Amino acid sequence: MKPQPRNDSRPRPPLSPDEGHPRQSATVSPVAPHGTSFLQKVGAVFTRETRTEFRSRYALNSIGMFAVTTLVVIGFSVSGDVPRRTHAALLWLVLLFSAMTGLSRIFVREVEARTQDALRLTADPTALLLGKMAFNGMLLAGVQAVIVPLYLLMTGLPIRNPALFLAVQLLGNVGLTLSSTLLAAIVAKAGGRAALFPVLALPILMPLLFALVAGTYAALVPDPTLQAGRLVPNLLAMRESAWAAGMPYVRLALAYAGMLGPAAVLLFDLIWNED
Amino acid sequence: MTGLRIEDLSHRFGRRILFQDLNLTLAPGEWLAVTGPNGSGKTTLMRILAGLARPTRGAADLLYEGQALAPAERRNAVGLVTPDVVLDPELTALENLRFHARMRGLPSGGEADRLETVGLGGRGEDRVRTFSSGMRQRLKYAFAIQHAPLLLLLDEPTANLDVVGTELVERLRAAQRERGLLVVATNEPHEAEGATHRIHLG
Repeated sequence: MKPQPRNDSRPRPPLSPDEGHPRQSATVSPVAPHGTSFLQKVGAVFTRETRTEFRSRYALNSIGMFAVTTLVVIGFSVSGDVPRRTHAALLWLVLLFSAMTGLSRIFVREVEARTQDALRLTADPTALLLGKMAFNGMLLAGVQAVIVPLYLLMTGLPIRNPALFLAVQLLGNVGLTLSSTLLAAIVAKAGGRAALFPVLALPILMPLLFALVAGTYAALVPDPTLQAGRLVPNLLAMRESAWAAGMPYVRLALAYAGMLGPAAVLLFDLIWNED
Repeated sequence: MTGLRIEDLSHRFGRRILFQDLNLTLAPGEWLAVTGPNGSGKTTLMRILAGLARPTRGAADLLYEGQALAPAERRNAVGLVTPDVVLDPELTALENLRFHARMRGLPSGGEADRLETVGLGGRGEDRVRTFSSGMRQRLKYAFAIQHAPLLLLLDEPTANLDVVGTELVERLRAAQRERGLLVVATNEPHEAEGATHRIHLG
């Protein structure tokens, strides 16, 4: 159907600053004003996420409830003779599932509140992704800061190499933040079905979780009651230092983050702008 | 040339054709009215014009000095008011406008004036979740015009607005016609009066 041209005979009131237009010209230039740097945009997204979360407290409440529940269950049920590699796995499972309950909300929230279109109209997708990743990273760091010391306190796990332990925690934060934020965007585009998140996340997170559990185990004092090296046979059997034992897993976690980071930035534009 | 160029624009959902082979060129000072019954595809057409949706076929390019704007430039050239665009209910009106101004690369300041313009002066520090539907509609106008867009798209422009709000919309429409491109999608015949171009869907 063809549009029908018509004459516009209505009187046109003069343009006035009071009409809310900050710039005045016969034809508006669409060239973007450069009042904000890319980093400032990332910071603005981070600030927005922080404000909305601390006002709604959805992620904080769900993470807190899950963390407290699982820690209490583990504290009452795990006895002293549990192998330390099981402790390493348990610690990351608590962190993973606590974080998942909150991190997956980062884009689903936009779908539920219907704020997605407003963001698509104004936000640079890369700045949006990085801002949301920064927020998820901070949220996960907060979860780690509470859960890890509590877990160590409740189980009395001795650490032989705190630096390696912290390095694995840091890499876990980066890897989980990258993967969960990207997956949250995909889930949000799938109609915001939060149940999809663990289904998609677990296979993708498997290599990272393996590296994190093995790296954490390497940082713990070896369990004297175990045959050395069920999880990392060669390195522990040779009784090398914790760094030597943990370094392959640190490299694996680094490679995971190194590949997923650029992939997330490249993929996000397509995911975000898919109608 | 500066304007909106619609070429062979078609869109369908499955087997259902919403519109087919739309062709139009809109120059500054002209405005387009899109009319049609509920479900005829007005909102979908507006989303395509805003760059929020892709057409099944054809193109809707926003031209500036003869060049079609890339998506990033288009973000700074389009303002959209539609029921689908919602501002963050957990933030205040001012926080919302400041955030989107920053995303658009606008210099800081002026957000309070925008709120004053749309009749929300004094409510800037209130969270959007406490706003009535009419106040939210006014806030959408402040959001849509804060960057002085080349193309202003209004879908159901007076929805939820009182008489004063309707007059405000009329003034904003008039100002936009003077300075750029305007597209209005409406079910109300009087809101389409005076259009220089018209598309009827359905």
